[in-house]
Amino acid sequence: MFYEPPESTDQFLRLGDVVEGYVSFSAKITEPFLSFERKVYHNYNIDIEVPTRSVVLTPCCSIEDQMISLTPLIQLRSDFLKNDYYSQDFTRINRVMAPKLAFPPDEWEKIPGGEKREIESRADGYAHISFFVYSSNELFNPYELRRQQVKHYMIDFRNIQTIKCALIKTKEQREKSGKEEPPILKSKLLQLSVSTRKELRDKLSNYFWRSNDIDID
Amino acid sequence: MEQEIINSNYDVFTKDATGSTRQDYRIISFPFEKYEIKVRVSPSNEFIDILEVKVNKDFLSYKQRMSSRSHIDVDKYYRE
Repeated sequence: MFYEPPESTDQFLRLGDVVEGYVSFSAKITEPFLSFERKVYHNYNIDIEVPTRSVVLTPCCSIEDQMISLTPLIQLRSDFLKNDYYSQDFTRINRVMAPKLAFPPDEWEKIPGGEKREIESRADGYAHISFFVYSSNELFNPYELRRQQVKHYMIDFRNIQTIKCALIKTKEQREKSGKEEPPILKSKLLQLSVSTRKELRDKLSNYFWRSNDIDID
Repeated sequence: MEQEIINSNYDVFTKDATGSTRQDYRIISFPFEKYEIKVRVSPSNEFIDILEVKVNKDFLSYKQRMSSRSHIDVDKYYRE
């Protein structure tokens, strides 16, 4: 079970919830603003849009004080269909897997034998470390990938943004009333099951937990 | 002299008292390569015997622990 059934959904926001109605923005600059001298031309651009769906990425206990972290739901990469292991169940991308399974079969065949053996000897791990796939749902609009209808979406941890909203209660306020303000509750569309939320938490933790090799040596 | 006898009696009294465990040794645990060794030594730190040798489960280096959770780098095969 990927999502919590509607009848047992909590009356407050939780990590991994699918929500709607929140803005998304992207800011672009040509270079860091290190000086405001007139001769330096600062070119920047801020785009604001309202994505169809977003996902809450603030840990459950930290959704408070009028702010929340969100990331938009985006379409899967069409190249995922090159790998049968993925196309049979796209949510496999959310979990650790044997290294060989992460390769498109055509690409795997091109790898020299010695390198294949070295890859196969490695421990299971995450592929696509910044992606987490959301299973198809009747609320999701279908779209076409390589002439196939798909209703799965995904999030990219690299797109996390913080939104401030006065209706996001403090922890104490929420505990007192037991639920969110009506507009916030209305924005909540889907809640992950406990096991799926654990998978999201594990993969999100792994994304931020990784160390660069130069820090390990 | 009388005070020494009193002190000596006090030591015997407390060490041999019911509920007390008389210990004329100390147990020291120290790491040796990937093992953890427990030895018994006298109050003056003289070696008595080895009590236990076990594998130290924390012998992995930081690098080894980091690499035990591998990441499969295949993003170049899934550009779009």
